Amino acid sequence: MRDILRKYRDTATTLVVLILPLFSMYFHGKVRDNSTVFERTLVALTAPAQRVAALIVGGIQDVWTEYINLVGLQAANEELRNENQILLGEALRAKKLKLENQRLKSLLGFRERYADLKTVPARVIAKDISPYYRVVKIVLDAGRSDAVSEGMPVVTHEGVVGRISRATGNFSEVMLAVDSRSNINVTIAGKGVSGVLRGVGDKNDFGGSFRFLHQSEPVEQNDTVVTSGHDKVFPAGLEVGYIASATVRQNGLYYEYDVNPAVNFSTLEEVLVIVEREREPDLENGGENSR
Amino acid sequence: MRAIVYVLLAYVLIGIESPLLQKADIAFYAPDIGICIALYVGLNLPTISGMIAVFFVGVLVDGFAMGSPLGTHVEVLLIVFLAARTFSGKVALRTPVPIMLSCVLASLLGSLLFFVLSAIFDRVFDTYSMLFRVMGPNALITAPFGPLVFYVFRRVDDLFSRRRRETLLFR
Repeated sequence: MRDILRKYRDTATTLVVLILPLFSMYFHGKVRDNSTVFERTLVALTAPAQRVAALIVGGIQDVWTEYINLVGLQAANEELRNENQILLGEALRAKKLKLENQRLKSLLGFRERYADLKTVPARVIAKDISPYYRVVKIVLDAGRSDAVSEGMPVVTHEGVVGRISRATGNFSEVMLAVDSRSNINVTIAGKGVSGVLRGVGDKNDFGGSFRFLHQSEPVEQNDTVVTSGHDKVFPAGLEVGYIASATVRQNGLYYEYDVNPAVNFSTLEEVLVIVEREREPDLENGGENSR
Repeated sequence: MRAIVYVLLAYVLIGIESPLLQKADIAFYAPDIGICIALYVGLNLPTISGMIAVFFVGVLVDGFAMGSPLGTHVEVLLIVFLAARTFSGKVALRTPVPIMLSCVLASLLGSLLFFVLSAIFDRVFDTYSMLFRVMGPNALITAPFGPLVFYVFRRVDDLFSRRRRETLLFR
């Protein structure tokens, strides 16, 4: 018996190890509202590494831009050169702080404008590494301990970023509004044309398509697309994007317009997670629910 | 022991990859470090310990790369590992060019497997055209990272073999 076990040990182990992920894929491939304990454990395991790495990489970058990059400059007076470097470093730091201050002020402005929404501020600590889901994921340094949970909307002063797809103790992951799996109920501001904004998920382009059934008024280029609030996820009136072109396409029963997102995803640094809202959106039209 | 060190090393390499890509602003194409590691392990570790190491590396990649159902990267890396294991006695990857070529092939194989597994198991996966557009450039960008990953893992192997020699010497 022992001989048989020894003989087929490699084959048996190979089979077990190959079949195990198949079960996991079958289970995790289903459309679910909440993340599983395995997914949450993985986020808890991987997010701290990304945070530490982000800090290290950021530190190295700061040293590079503020000092090493300037070391090569020739100057007659060593003292003046050092002083110059320090001042330049401080100027760079001040510029960086000014930009950060502007962003935070804008976020604060957003919080004041939507005082009825309870929000939690968070920093972006990492982005997705998978080439196949290039634009879908960012990792935030706020999680369940900050009252953040799956499905909560994520916004900036510019507009909608996406929604929380996984949350763990101190970290959470965001599925961006331009992800092909993202659906947000939207309307054209001031025109009453309602529909669904679906992410395109293209690798080169952060874009979406606005799908609707009926058009009561003509839609023009640069018309603002805002959330309708019908999906009970996003509060009504948040900017999502702008109509990229007035050319309409027909796709089966639907009509489609291309939409450029309001948020610049490549420069995201700070965001707000809407954890609670006192105002209920207008639900008179029902609306399709998003995933 | 070597397998555990490999997994820890993979954790560090893959963990640092995402913030680096973000800072470098080249996040559209990412080197497939997991594939390079699976290739190296396939060529250098015995089947059982290698499979277990690659299994956990796959779990880590699944954790770092959201989107696909949990287990997809594990399966992809395991199959790449088994493919590398098949060739382990026949090829010796010593210089950078063969390593880079092998990484390109492994990355293309990985992308195809990813496509097949996503089509079967991922109910919401619909970015097939994007996958096919990305797989070529992604394999090419993975290539230069192959020799780097091989070098780092070889250094670890050297440390292990030196320790083993010393243990034998003093016994």
